[in-house]
Amino acid sequence: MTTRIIVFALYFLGIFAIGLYSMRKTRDESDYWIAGGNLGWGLGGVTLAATHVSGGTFIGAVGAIHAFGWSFGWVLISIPLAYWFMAAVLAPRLMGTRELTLPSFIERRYYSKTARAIAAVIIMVAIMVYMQAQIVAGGLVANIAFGVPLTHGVVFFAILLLAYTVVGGMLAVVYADFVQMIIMLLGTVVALPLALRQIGGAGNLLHYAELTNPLALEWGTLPAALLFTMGLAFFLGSVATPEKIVRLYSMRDMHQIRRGILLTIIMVVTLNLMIMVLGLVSVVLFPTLPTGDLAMPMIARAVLPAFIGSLMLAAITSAIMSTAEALLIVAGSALSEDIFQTFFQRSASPRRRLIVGRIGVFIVGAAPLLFVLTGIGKGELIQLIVLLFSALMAASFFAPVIGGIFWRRATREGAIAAMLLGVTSAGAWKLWGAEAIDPVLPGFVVSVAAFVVVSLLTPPPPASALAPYFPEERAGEEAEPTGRASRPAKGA
Amino acid sequence: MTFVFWGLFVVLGLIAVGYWRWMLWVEKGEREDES
Repeated sequence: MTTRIIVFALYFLGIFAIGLYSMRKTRDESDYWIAGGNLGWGLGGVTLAATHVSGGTFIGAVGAIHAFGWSFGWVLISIPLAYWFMAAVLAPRLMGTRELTLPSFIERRYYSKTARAIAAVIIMVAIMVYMQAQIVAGGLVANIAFGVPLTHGVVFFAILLLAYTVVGGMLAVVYADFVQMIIMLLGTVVALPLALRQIGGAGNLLHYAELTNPLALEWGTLPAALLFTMGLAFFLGSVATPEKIVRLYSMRDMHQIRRGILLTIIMVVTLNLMIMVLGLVSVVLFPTLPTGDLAMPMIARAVLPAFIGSLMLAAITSAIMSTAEALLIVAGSALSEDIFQTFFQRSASPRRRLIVGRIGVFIVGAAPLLFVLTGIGKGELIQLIVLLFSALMAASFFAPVIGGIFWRRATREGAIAAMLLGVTSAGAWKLWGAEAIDPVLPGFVVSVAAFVVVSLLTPPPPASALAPYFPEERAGEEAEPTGRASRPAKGA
Repeated sequence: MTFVFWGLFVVLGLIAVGYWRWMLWVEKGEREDES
């Protein structure tokens, strides 16, 4: 217990110091929301990877290997392909303008504040509900690590998360991501050989896994069609989500983005593979767990020595925090930048905008904590929204973002229809549709169909809206500039 | 059984190497365009 307390105290002190340091470096809203748009490939790649790796990776992926066997691991292929798509297709055109938020891109491309507000509300509501599950997960880790009551763990986790994110903004999140990624890699790299030693080395792993569960190393548990559908859902859920897109805006230029994404691919894939091998170890060591989700905490507590086990629990905490803080920044920017500043306070001073930004992040972080403590949204709803989160983001934003930068005919009305119908159809499918099909697929199909049909039925967009994303439009735009200037990277 | 396990490592490795080669190819093209 003492070791655990020391490891966690050092971790939390370090993260809080990062928050204070970042506060001193944050001078305006560009620093606060996109780290000044000046990140190199190292920090940029790490923050993208840390955002990707969530509590779901450490607990959910291990649980999935435990339940479905190794064939689930093949879903991983969709992750590097999604990032390759981001680097090759999405980023070059998206960086035609550097925005502070995804809804800000929506407004510029679709010449509509209404479209921006709709995007902001979808992001804010989905994230605020999703945050409840993240806060509860943080509280659970505190419960497992220290035996404190769940409510105390939840409050402590939320306060710490809010403290450094509110004061330090994106800079604090990026530096914290760096520390958290080191802890995740270190925890996993050290734990893996120790866990393998428990079953007599790597050579025995496949043999014992097959003996314990004959389907662990077969395709049988997950047919190819289901694997493909899940992979597609992972792909669509990874691309064009707001927390990923602001990280592209945070990097200096395309050169840094391409290299950063290579680092992201290497880190995410390596970490996932190591965690999945740990999952296979858990199949051998704990074949009769009531739920696979307990596999990783069991390895941390029952298999690893105290210090390494504490490190592993800190790694799980890091994974939850790195995703939660990224979502907090995105939801906070949706509230203060896309809704409040856009509609109610357009000409505030930089200092005032920064204060409003901090208040926005505080509200979107404190509200889920209150919901959890008062019992609002308890039970199935939270679980439902966790599963739905990626589906909702993909169904809302894939068509408007990708279509917006590649299809000149895409219109404001098309984008609004795609977001509203995409999000409602994905939600409706989850409630009443067939369980065998992930809601992202019907949501995606309806969103794309609405996007195309409504765009074709409405007047084409003005040239000024297309100019930043379609090079051939720029000649006309230069002759008669009507669009806002792009935000340069600091120091560029 | 062996392919289900080791095949994943090989396929993921090939994708990572493919990305790296693509990145170098794009950067080479950009340098040539500048000069």
